[in-house]
Amino acid sequence: MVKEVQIHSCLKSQLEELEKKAAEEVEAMLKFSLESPYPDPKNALKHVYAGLEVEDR
Amino acid sequence: MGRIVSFGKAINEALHQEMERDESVFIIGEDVAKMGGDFGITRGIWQRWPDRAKDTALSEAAIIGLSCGAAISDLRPVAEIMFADFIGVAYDQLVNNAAKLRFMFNGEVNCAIVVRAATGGGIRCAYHHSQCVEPWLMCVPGLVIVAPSTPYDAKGLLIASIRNNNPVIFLEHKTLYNSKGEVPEEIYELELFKAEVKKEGTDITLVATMAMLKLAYEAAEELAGEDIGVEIIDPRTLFPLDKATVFESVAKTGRLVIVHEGPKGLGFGAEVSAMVTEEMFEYLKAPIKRVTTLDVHIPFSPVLEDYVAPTTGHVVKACQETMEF
Repeated sequence: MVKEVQIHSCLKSQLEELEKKAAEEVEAMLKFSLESPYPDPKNALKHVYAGLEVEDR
Repeated sequence: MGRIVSFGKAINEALHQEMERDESVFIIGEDVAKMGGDFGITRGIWQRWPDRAKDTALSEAAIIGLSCGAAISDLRPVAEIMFADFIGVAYDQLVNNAAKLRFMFNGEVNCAIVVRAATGGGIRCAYHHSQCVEPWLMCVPGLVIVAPSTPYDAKGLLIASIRNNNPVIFLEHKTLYNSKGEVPEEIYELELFKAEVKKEGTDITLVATMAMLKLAYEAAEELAGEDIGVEIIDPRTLFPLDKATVFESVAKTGRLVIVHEGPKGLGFGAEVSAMVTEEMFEYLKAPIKRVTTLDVHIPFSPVLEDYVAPTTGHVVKACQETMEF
């Protein structure tokens, strides 16, 4: 990918900035996921149908 | 027997032994040759028989279509659909070609293909890689659906499936691949269309499939403490079903609980329940119960997947309610 971008005249500094930004976004998402509580199990019953919740046991 | 091997190894051994015995057998699928399959089940075959192990493009329809063509030319393809969920992509080839060829040609051609597919949930693979697809297939006349639960059964049933002249869908539950059991080294065949009574009992017939056998055994052990004798039946061939074995058991116990993965609606349990209600109604002492996955998609979150899946507790409760009726 680095080569591809270089061919299209992207500056090395721009590329490094993009990679840094992507890594930060992934890190933030990971942190959010790990710090979030698990969802309510009953969420599994939602959104299978529009306007209708699936029957639980 | 004395030799302990895994479910996955038992299938690998069956493939090797059948390819050794019959040169018309070959394997085909995505990454089945050089890589040895996504789950490693076809390892070593390409190295030994490079001309009889075919990697394909990512086209399940092409895999099954090509297999049908090979089968009517008297070859015996063993196709792999990496995840059973992708059978949907090849559905037309299975339903409108594989299942019908024999009938369309007045019994003059065989479509002796085996379609191996990894099925079921439990390994956090979410919606598109966790489904139990047997209801999509059981309703198609001409297809045989085989679903082993032990390494011993997996080897013997796969060998029987390869030798059988019908299109056989051979379902391999992903959580069973590493399970271990006694398997003879020699080549052997188990009868298709024949259920097995895995444990005898007098109070409740518990029909369980694939990975659900583990739940059935655990429930039976717990219920033994309440003096409830559970008879466990593994259908092994889901369809056409060995009704006689199930009926004989229900005639003895008068109670039936069916445990399978996958939605309850129009699933394997619905069919077994209908068969028993139609033909064995007078023997029933209580309504038939089904323990299944909820009628939803398999969620990605582990807590959600665990919530929708059947558990040993659900099986115990269903059996207790059946006894108390």
